[in-house]
Amino acid sequence: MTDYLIANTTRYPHETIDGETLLIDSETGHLLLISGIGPSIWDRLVAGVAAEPLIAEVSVLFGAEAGTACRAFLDALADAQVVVRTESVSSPASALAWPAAYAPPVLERFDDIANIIAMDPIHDVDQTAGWPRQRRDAAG
Amino acid sequence: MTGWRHQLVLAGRSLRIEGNSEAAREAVAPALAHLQRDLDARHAESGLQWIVEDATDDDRRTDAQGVYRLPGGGLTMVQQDPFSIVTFAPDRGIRLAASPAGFASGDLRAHPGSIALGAWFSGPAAQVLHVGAVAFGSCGVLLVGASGAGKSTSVLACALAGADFLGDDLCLVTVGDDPNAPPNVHSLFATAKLNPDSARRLGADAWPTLGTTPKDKVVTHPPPPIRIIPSAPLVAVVVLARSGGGPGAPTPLRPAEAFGALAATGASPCSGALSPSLWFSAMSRLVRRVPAYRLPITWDLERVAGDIRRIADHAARRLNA
Repeated sequence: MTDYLIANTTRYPHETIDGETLLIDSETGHLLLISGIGPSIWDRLVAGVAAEPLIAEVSVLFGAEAGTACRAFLDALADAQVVVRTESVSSPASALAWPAAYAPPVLERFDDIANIIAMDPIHDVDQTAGWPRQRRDAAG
Repeated sequence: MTGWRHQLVLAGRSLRIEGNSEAAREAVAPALAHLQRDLDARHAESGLQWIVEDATDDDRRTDAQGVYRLPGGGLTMVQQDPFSIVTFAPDRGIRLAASPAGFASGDLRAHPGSIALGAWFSGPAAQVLHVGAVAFGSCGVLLVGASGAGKSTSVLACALAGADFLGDDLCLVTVGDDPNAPPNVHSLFATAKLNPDSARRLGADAWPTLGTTPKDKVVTHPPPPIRIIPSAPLVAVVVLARSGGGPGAPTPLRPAEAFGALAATGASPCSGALSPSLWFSAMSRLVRRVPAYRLPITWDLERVAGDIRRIADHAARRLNA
């Protein structure tokens, strides 16, 4: 069975601007930045793509080391739940616009907004005690 | 009871603000003095209602402090010592209540109801940001930087050099659906917070003082000839950086770098916590449409103002090309 990966765009809204892809974790506020050939890989992931053929294509285009970097990049995205595994995709992936020059795909994570949320969290209100009373199970 | 009421326009939206005491009026009037009066009779009983009133015993029964989410998409923020409580409920509007000491506090007088206004405006096309803003002619510039980076000093240096003042710490940015239309920056508060050193260097020691913040910053209402305007089209984002040595030239930033700077220092607690997705949408639209620059700054305030004016001119030419 083919192992497909697809971007979790419900949790991670994304924008690609001037060759760099920005994502935000809508649950935690963590900001992610994808650079290098990563945005081209990301294009495929938004539609859904089979991992092994993608890695093979990158290896053919940019060399074996690039293929290894692509695999590590996909693993990092999966570990962060930015992409999820699926058994099929609903539409074929569009052709990738690969950059002329290779730069390794990089995933960076920034904690600024997440820290702001953690610093001054919005508490859920205890509906029975009225407000502003923090819910007991959310306190502390 | 001393009742008062004003119908104002904020970023094109009607705001009906009313209070029940002179202390309440004194607490909010200077910060909102620059907003246009809404003279449209059709809005007389419409728009968002904002009540400012003395805290009741019921308000003060809570010992909570912090921000709380309310059913229906609202929130409330409680502060103690001195006491104030501000609530935003989409169906009821804003209510700000405080003790006498709360109404006299510098933070409240600098930015009354800011978290509620942030919640009211928060959306994919509008966010209240922790930024300063000025406009040279009709060219608005956002000044981005952490607390202490020099936002207020740079804003007022520009204002004293002829720029229009939009805000030194919290501003509303709107970014509409039309990708060819410029974003706009809107002034929320006609106040500035200055540390004593900056006030002395700017010659602002004698300006009207509204209070003092817990960080010992003086809250002031910039007087004429400084002109406070309600809105301006945005042409540039300037990320302020402390210069390690002498003055440095501004350098262009990639959109992702500008986004990172806005995430690091420009997100207000309310905008980020209510919905990171909405904040993300508005900020990605902003950095896509407006060029950004990094500007090293020093205490040569004339040079800082000149550099920001040149950035505004350069960015406006680039956008109009």
